[in-house]
Amino acid sequence: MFQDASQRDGQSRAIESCPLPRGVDLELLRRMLLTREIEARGVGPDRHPLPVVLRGRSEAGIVAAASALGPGDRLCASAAYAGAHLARALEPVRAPALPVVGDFLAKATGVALGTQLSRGTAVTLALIPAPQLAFERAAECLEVAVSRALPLVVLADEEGDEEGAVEAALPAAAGVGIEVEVLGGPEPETAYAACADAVAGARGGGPKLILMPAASVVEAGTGWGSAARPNDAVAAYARRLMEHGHPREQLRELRRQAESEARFG
Amino acid sequence: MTTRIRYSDAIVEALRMEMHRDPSIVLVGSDEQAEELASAFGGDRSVAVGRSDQGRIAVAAGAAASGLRVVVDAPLETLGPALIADLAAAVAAADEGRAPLIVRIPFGASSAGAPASRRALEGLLAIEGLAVVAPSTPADAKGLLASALHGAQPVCILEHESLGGHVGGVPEGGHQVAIGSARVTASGSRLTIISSGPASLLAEEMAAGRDGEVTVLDLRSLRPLDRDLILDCVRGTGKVLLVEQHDSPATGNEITALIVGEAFEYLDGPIRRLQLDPSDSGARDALEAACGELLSY
Repeated sequence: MFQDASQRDGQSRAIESCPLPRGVDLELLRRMLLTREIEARGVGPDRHPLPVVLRGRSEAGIVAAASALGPGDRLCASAAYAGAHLARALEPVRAPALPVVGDFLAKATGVALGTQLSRGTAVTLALIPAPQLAFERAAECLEVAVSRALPLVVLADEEGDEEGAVEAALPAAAGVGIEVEVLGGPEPETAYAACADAVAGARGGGPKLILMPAASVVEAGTGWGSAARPNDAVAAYARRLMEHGHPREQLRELRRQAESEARFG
Repeated sequence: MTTRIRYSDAIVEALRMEMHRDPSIVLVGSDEQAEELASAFGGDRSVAVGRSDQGRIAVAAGAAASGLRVVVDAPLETLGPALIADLAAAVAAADEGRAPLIVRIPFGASSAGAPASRRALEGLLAIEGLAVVAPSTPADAKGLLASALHGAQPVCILEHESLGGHVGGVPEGGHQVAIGSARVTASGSRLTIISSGPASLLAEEMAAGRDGEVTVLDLRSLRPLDRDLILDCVRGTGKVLLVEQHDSPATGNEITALIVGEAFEYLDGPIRRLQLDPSDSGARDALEAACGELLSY
């Protein structure tokens, strides 16, 4: 299981404290499974990844975070965060057409600036790999966001091979003066709750940075409950749903739906 | 009424006038620029992102995508593939009815010939729907920027470093120059020189000493090209010299293809192309020699 929230320093929250409403919880799982199916189709028959690299190891938290946005809110993220785009109702067939390059924190800062200057109420969520926070331009964008109290939420996640990036980002974030929350891992319920809180806060004015470390061991796959993937966030989430009374067959049906929906091209 | 002002002041004048006219215009600039305009319009409409050229243009692209009309500056050599992709996305956003992005691009002696600059310019000229202009006079600098801020399409404005202090007459008040319109700066009957930026000023100066022999066409707009005026000039003189200074052959290739395709029968000699840095001491001589060679056909 993931590192418990209480084991980390700084602000955090316990999984048990934020159960999701019935219906929302199943929708989250459906989106995660759809992301997995898209990801599975991004891997060739010889198991070599195709050029579009999805950040598949944190998709449970990413899908949940993007699901916390309101209808008029904006998402700024590369194609690597396909799960977030799917959560925002992107048709699966359009996922490969998303841009894979670009500075999405800077773009999100601009979008939030535009919202503020046009007196809009939308909040912008930027999803970026945590190592990008080390760039000078990232610090400058966060400074602009703080100084202008922009309606911006930045979620920086960490893949397995980027371990330590979240810890490394903390001093820079403190230097900028942005409010920071560190999650225990890519666990969907805490990511959803943290993002929902941050969005509500940002709507009133003021950015927030959420740091989401990698889980210690995660393997991508389309199933759940397997002993070979004990730390798979999607599998763990599915197990919790079953513990909360959702029938196994209902969850299997969601998986079948996701497989069917992802068959494009 | 015109007043004589510097090229750089003409740009600031256009920005001031248009920002007064349209409250959706915002400047995302380097620190100095942002501070200067913040004093006139308040900090809201002038955002300083001075430490990173890449970050600045990405912030501007994001703001434009959310409906603002954004003016941003970025040196030519910093426009790498990711920023070119941002500009292409801005074109797509403008096609969907969102406000355009206007990118002021200083370039010149410090970046001339640099592979990064050449690639950047070729990348810009390859984006369908993106206008690229290169004003050579203060009046054109003011008029083209004003047109860009009135229009619905993303525009890149190439501002040669050597022109900043160039003084010329500028119409007072509102003044626009249509994007895609070239200008004949000298009229002659035997040869057409097609150029833009500082090279067109040099060509104009040289033509003045050749007593009605040379027509000089200042493109002003590298994309879209003023195809009709180019063809009219070529048909009138029969000989063509393309003077290029932008480190990219893309515009010259396009013009050559246009002339060969649409006015081949009017040509009395080969189309010559001359790479020229107008700041070189030998630039005038090189231009004279190329003209002399063509006129001898």
